[in-house]
Formats: sequence, C-alpha cells, structure tokens
Amino acid sequence: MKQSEYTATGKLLKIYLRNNKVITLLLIFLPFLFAYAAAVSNMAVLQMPEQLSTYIAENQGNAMLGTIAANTIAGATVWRIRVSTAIIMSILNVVLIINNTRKDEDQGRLELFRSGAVGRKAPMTAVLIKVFLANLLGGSAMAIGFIAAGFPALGSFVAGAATALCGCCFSAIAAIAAQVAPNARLARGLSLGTIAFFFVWQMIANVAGNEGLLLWTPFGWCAYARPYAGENLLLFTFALPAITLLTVIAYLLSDRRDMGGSYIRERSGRAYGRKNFKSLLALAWRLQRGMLFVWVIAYAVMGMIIASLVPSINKMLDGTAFLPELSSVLGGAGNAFLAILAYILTQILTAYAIMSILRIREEESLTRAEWVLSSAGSRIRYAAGHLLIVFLGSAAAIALFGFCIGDFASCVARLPAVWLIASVTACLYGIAPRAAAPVSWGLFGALLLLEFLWEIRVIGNSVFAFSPFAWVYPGVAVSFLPVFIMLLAAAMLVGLGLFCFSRRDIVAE
Amino acid sequence: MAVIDISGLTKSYGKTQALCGIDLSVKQGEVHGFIGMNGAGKSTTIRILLGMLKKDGGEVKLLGGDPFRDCVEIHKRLAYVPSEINPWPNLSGGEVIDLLSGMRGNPDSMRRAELIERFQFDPSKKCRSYSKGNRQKIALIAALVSDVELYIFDEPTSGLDPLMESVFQDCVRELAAQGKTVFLSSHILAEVEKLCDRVTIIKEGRIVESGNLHELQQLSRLMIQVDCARSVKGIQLPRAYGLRCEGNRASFSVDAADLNATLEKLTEYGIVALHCAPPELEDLFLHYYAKDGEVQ
Repeated sequence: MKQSEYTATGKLLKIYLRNNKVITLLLIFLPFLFAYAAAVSNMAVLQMPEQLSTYIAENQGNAMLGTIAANTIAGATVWRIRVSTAIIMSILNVVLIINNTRKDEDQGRLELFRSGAVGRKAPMTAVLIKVFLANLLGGSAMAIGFIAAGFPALGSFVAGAATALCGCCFSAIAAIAAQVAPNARLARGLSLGTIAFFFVWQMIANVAGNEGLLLWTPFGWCAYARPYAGENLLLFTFALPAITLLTVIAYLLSDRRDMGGSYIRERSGRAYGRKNFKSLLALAWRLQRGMLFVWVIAYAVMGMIIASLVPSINKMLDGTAFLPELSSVLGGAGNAFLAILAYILTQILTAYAIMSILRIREEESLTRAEWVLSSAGSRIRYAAGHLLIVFLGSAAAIALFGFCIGDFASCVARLPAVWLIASVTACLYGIAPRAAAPVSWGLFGALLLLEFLWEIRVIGNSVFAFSPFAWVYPGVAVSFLPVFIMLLAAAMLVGLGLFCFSRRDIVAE
Repeated sequence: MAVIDISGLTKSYGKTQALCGIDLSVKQGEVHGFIGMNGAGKSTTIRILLGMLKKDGGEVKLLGGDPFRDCVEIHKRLAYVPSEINPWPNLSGGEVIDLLSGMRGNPDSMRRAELIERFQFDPSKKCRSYSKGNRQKIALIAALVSDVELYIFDEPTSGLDPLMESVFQDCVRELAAQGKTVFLSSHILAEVEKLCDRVTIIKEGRIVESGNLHELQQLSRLMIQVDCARSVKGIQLPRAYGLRCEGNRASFSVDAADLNATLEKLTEYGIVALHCAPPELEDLFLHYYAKDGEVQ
C-alpha cells in the first residue's frame, strides 16, 4: 500500500461532504424517525399484554418481515421496521455512491480531480469514508430512537449496527457496480437489482424459516442479530469481513481498469433508426416511455397486491371503528380503506404527470428542442405529443389500478383532478417556461397542504373546494358537473399553453 | 434572389439589447461567412432566422417567407447545425441522424453511407458514449444528408479534429458547386477565409462590415514590410499605421491611397526588398473590433 495513492483523500472528503446534502441527511435522520415513530405508536397501541400477544400471534411468520423473535413491544417494533428501514437506507446508499463515483466519472469531474495532486485511490476512499460514516450515524440514530422510546440499550444498538452494516454493504456493492458498469445509469440499475435480489432472498429465508439463510442477505442481518432476544453478536464477525471483502474487490476492480473504462461494454444501439421513428410523436414516446412503463406497471402491481389483500383487510377492519362516517357511505370499512388508498395513489399520480410534462422543458433547456424544431417540426405537434402520452399514460395507470382492485369507475372518475393540475403545468410551460417547475410543484404542495388543513378543520369546506382534489375526495359522490368543469378547464389550459408555446421564444440555458 | 434578407432587425432580452438593427443579405448560391466574437449576436440572429426567437422589430425574410410564421414549411428547405449539441443519451447516433433528416423528407441512403464513411463515424453507439467531436458529426451528417436549398451552420467545426475539419470544408465546397446557399457562422477565421465568398462582421449587435471578402481586403490597408540598405531607425512615416522598426526593416500598414507617398519616403533609405500583402481576415476582424465598431 503506497501512501501516495491516497494523497488528498481529506480534501476530497470535504468536497464530497458538501455534495448531496439532502440524501445524506435523509440517510442519517430517517432511521431515527422510523424507529422513534414506530416505537411510540406501538407503545400506544400495544399497551395491554393481550394486545401484544394477539399482535405477535397474528403477524408471526410474515413472509416479507420474518419472525418476531422477542415477545416484547421492542421486539415487535424492531420486527415491523427493520426491513423497510434497511431497504430505504440501501437505496440512499446506492444513489450516494453512484453519484460520487460513476456519475462524476461520466461527467468528467473525476478526471478533473485526478489531474490534480490526488492519489489514485483517494476519490473512492473519500466517498466510502463519507458514506460509511453516514451509515454509522444513521444506525446510531436508529438506536437512539429506540432508546428514547425506552427500549433496552443493547438491543437498540445491535439493531442500529446491523442496519448500518446493511447500508455499508450495499454501498460497497454500489462501488463495485460503479467499476463494472459503463455508465451511471447501468451502475445504479445493477445496484438496485442487487437490492431486489437480496430482498427476495430474505423473503425466501423467511418462508423457509431458515435462520442460516438470513445471514447471506444484508436484509436478514437485523433479524439474525436478534435484538432484544438474546443478541447474537456472531453477525458482526460475518458482516464486517464481508463488507471489507466487497470493498477490497471494488478497489481491485478500480485498479485494473482505465479511467472511463468498464468491465461491461456499453451496449451498442441501432445503426439505422426504425422506419417509423421519424416523427415528433415517435421521439416523445421514446423519451417518455421508460418512466411511463415504470409508473403503469407499479400501479398495476400495487392494484394486484391490494386486491389480493382485500379479504384480510376486510377481516381486519371488520367491526373496528375505522373511519365510521366514510365506511357507512361506502358500505364497509374495507371499501373505505380501498377508496382512501385509491385517492392517495391518484394524488401521487399527479406528481408523475407534472414530472413528465416538465421533461419537455428539460429538452428545451438542453437545446434539443431547437435542434428538433429546426428539422421541420411543428411546435404544437412537438408539445402535444408529449402531453398526449402523459395524459393517456396517467389514465392507463389509474385505470389499471382500478381494474385490479375492482373499482374501475370511481378510480377513473378521479382522473380529471390529475389532468387539471397537469394542465396547469402544461399551460405554465407555454407561457413562462422558467416558472413552470417551481410554480407547478408549489401548487401541488399547496393543494396537499390545503387538504391537510381541511382535515384538521382549520379551514372549511368552502376553501377546500378550490382544490380539484376536493371534488374527488373519498366518499364524495362524483357528479357530472364538477367533472365536466374540470375537464373543460383542463382542455382550456392546455389549449392556452399550446397557443402561447407556439408564439414564444424557445429559450435554452 | 436573396435567400436571407434582414433589415433593421432588433431583439432584446430584458434590458440587454442583443441586436440593434442589423441588415444582412445572403444571395442564392453564395457561401456567406458570419463572424463575430462570443456574445456579438450571431446565435441570436440564427435563432431568429430559424423561428426559434421572435424578432422585436425590423424585417426578416428567409427563403421568401416569414421565418416565424412559416417555419415548418421553410425548415423543409433548410438544414441546421447548432453550436451546442446534446443528443439524447439513450438513442444511437444513427437513430438521431435518421430522425432529424427523416423529418425533413426522405434522405438518400447512399448519401448517408457516404457521409458516415467520410466523417469516419460509427452510428451504432449510444449518444452518451460519443465524444464532443463525434456529437458534432451527428449534427453535421444529419444536416448534410438532406438535399435542401440552404444550410445554416453555427460554429460547425468546434470539437472536430483538423482532418474532419477539412472533410467539412470539402463538403461545403461541394454544396457551393451545386449552387446551394451556405450561411456559416464561425469564429475560426481561417475557415471562413477558405470557404466564403462574402462575409458579414457583427459586433455588439451591430453589423460593422459586410461584403465581398476580396473587396474588403482591397479596400482596407495593405500590410507592408520593407528591407532597406541602411538602418531605418528614427524614420518618420506620417501616413503609416503601427510602424515597427528593427534594424534595416520597417513594417507597417497603410491605406492604398497613401502607398505611393510612403514608399517615396522609404526610397531615401534604399529599398532592397519589399513585401506587400492584403490583410488577412484576422487582421480585418481585429481592426473592426479594435475601432469601436466604426467602419473606416
């Protein structure tokens, strides 16, 4: 090990600490939030010993989450959040590592660093130090969350440490992927694929009831370490060497390749375009379809999962006082639950629509719009193609979801609210492209805030009525007139946006 | 017939006046150089010609039509290479070429193959893995493959190696031989000098000179270098500009009208060698840029 290979690691660490602050902070504070919130709510709900024992009996052997090892509130709480916390931390780890390794390399920043008086191994070392530290803090924060709720300290720290090590393990895996893949996109894909693989492995281990298998997936580590149930410190004698080994592999792979090189070759594309790939709509479809497929498939899958859970949800909610008013309107607590879920997914779908429409703006600021439009493309067709795909795509997602849960009509009836908010974005894009992103997201946030204020009764019905969501709220009988007005307003906004777009300057920056 | 006809064109972005009433005319079949420093207004002019920006005032005619109103019809008759090229990372070079040229009409596949061969371009890679020069080639091939009346190039050779630069220059000469009109915006003056019949110099949103390159060179000062029999130290040449004396050699520039009087004075020193040349485009350019935009 030559020391000069690590020259300037400290300086780079300072730079990386200033990068991706939001993700880093999430990595540190989310585990605390999850731990503390889950602990406090379980302590409230599971006060009575019989409540606790029923809860444990009902949930024992869950395929996704595994077995509850300790018959205490602490045991039930850590069981409830260990996998979800580990998954979220792992995803954040992957994003952080890829951003500061392969993405920096793709965009030439790594070359800039390495051309200075910087050791060959310094950039990766600095990134790993930063991310490992963040995991350590995140794990400690999780432990502190449990301890703050009054759980035993040893178990809390074991749970936190096992979760932090899971994060570190995936950052080492991401560091390997960054060496192997030819670009950031594929590196991220490979890492997320590994996360999915180990998650499935964890489920298999749960179903098989084999604790030994759990050791071989980082998502099983927290369960394997048995917090609050006779802690099994053997885990650390396995996990630490495993992470070290993966890190060493990442360094070896990095040493054996050129800057910008990779072990997987970049997939080559078509030498000729397809015959029908020469229209603006075809281009818009090509640019939008990736995100569209992800959303539509996600909604369909969620629909199917929820549909399969409906009987047990009904059983669970039967006789409980779950939203009594709504339940009586919709004929049962199960229906009320489904309606709320469908409503929330409608709101989330609005974010997809806004994001996809803003994609047109991104094309413009990257000077691509100018290039395409100067090749005999009409502006209206250009923008309308994107809008068509976004509007039909959002309809497809919510319709499939509705079809899966068997409530097609009321899901589709909520669509005008999504379209109306999306058409505000489209209109803004036509009139004031620079303001489109901030104002759209601001409006979306304001509508959610309005709803929150209405739900806690700070504002009345008449104010909430300004939100399109008020007209499709669960339990509201959707009538023709508001739907018609929303569709009309959406059509007018889109028309105005397109009209202004066809008359304004195309601005690149 | 004028392919591009601009008079009194103005455009401002907020408080910044980008174009302050420019006049520009490009005739059919001409290779016209459009030169100026960064920020002089070259790209703004081109974007107005392409209908991407709306003019504030003045008249603009492109291929006989209004570039903003008739843009789609006009764009079928022209091809454009932008100065900044960001192709879609997940499309291949070949797909981008076919998409852009296909929108203009059906390009000749023989011509496509020929250009790909000449520019030594591999069309089957994803755009994210192309270097800057190769991205430039995508735009050049997509434009050159179309058989149109007018070609607009905005700094087309930035990022190209000298070999590819000369391929591009050959292509432009071929277009000129076929009677196509070429509008070439550049600050690589050697290239403009090699290719263009006429040039327009723009500075801070104003046209400072426009005309036949040859005539411009004739009209302006000549560059003179004289070797004399004895030292020229202390010589007085009242009409000469930028006089430099080194031993027996004097170098300066002088208006054609004053050449005779100046040389007469120099004969007193016994001229042994004389080198007289019209200014290069670079000298012309620097001259206009040094003089606060006033035409001499």
